[in-house]
Amino acid sequence: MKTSLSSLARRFLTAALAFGFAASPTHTVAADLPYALKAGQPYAGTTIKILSVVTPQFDGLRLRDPEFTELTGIKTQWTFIPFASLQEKVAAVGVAADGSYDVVNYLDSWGPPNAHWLVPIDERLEADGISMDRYPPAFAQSASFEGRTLGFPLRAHAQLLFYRTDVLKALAMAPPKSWDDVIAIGQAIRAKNVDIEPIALYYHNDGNRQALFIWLNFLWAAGADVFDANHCPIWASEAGLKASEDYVGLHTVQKVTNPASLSFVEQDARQSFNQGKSAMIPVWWWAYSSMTNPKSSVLNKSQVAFTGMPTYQGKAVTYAISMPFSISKYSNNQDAAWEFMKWLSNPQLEKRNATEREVGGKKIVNNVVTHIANLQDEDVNKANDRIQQAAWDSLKESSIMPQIAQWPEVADIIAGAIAKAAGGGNTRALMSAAAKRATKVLRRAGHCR
Amino acid sequence: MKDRYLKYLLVAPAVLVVFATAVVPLIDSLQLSLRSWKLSRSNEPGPYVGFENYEWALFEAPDMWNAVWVTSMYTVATVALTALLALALAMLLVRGGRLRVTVQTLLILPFAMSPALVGVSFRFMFNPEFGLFDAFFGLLFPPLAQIAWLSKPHLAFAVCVLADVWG
Repeated sequence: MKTSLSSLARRFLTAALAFGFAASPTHTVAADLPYALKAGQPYAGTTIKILSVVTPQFDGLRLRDPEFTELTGIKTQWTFIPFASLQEKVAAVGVAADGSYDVVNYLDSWGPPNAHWLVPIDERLEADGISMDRYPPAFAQSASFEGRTLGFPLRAHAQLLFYRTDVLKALAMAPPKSWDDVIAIGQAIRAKNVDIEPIALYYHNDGNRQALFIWLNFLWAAGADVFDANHCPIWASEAGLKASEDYVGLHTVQKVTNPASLSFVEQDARQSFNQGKSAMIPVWWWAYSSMTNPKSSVLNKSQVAFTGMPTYQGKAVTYAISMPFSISKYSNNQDAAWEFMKWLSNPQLEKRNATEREVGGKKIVNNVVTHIANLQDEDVNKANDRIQQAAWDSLKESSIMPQIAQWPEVADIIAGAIAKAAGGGNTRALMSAAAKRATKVLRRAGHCR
Repeated sequence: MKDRYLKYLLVAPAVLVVFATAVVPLIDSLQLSLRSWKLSRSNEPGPYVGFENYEWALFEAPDMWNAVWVTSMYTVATVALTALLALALAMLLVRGGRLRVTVQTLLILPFAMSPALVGVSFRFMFNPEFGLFDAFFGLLFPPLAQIAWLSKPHLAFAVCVLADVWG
């Protein structure tokens, strides 16, 4: 295997550091090893099993695991699952309750229904001097439930609007700042009969609730919300209904969306953009690398640019999402798993993973960082066309999906209503009916009383 | 061993397997249906609550009757169409001919494909931007070109039935 000089030097330094601290009798407290790891390799020989989503970001971390093993003696064993199957897998692992995985990776909105078998880490964080303040508030919040921190938001995303620079240049139009601008660009594209659809959205209801991603932008910017303090549905307020109508209206009234948006989930919309069939797409920032990767796109870097999410009624409130890592309650290696979590979540490792393009001879292109320091880091931004800074700006006014155990069920009801509305149904009637149906579900669970 | 006992002995393994894999889980499900159990809170079933879960499902649950209706329609449509189509093909092939073996092999092909694979394939083929069927129907019948097959509930239902009948 080809090993670069810098990699060899780093491994030597890491091993020397670990050996030096472990051998010295005066350096036995947790704070002495890097990343607050315990000295003396107390868990050497343990193998940590990790369940994770498939992504170059985590592949890059996995390839660096030998550094962790050198420091702690702990080995790792990753199981990667495609995102589409991850929810079922996580649920199955929780129900099996057999400790088959020590560390699990999940979408933040699945956290509450699975919180009963995820170990809160607040005491461990305090003992090791790690603060969740190192993350943007929305990311930190997404990894907690009922006031307890469940894990680290190692993979987390901000929304950005990506657009085709060549198309906008041909139209002599500036990048959109508001949804009205998006409509104006869309109408200009339609008027000039350019062979490209204005914007790819995703209204399809496929069980992953992706139709809510942009809807939440509209809802929050309008000053409305999903629930009130008692977790009663309030999205059917006048402001909420107007926002829902305007969101769906991009497709049904303004007709500036790709007609296939009705059938699109987020992945389909990205594919449409990557294939040069849509000129704009609001999507997670991580998608940027795939948009200019010849293996997955017909576009090149000069054709793709990004900007903040468009404003609605003069305001932009974005939806932030995360995929935290947590320790399973059923794990027999919880202490060793915590050592792994500390190492895996350290900001230095994250920075390297977003700036180094080759790990162990394998090409890794990843732009995802979640620490505030790395979002603003000059090296990280320089290596990634400054997308982290744009993400940081997007995150300044952002929120997350409601954190209650019944959210997936309620979100399915909303997603169904949005899909039907985009298909030509009455948005007001559908969203109002969805609120009534959701109320029944929530009341049965003890909310909204 | 007397013949009259041998027959019971021979079917015993099958009976045991069916009992262990079908009857026991069915009885277990039945007793679980009478208990309170929120999987989002605990892995352990809660106390017995009588017929409360059934009352919820029958009179309160938002999706229950829609699910019953869709499942019934799906079952009737797929069973009827599969039977009719299979009968028609069998009648066409009963006469023999040189192409019979080839056609029979092609007709058996769907059996070899897993339902999950069939589902994913059909989803691709009805994709509005690059789907084969979508393009095919659009070419043959131009008014159908703009139809989002997988987005309208009734059309999506029809596509699901089509995929099931094919497989």
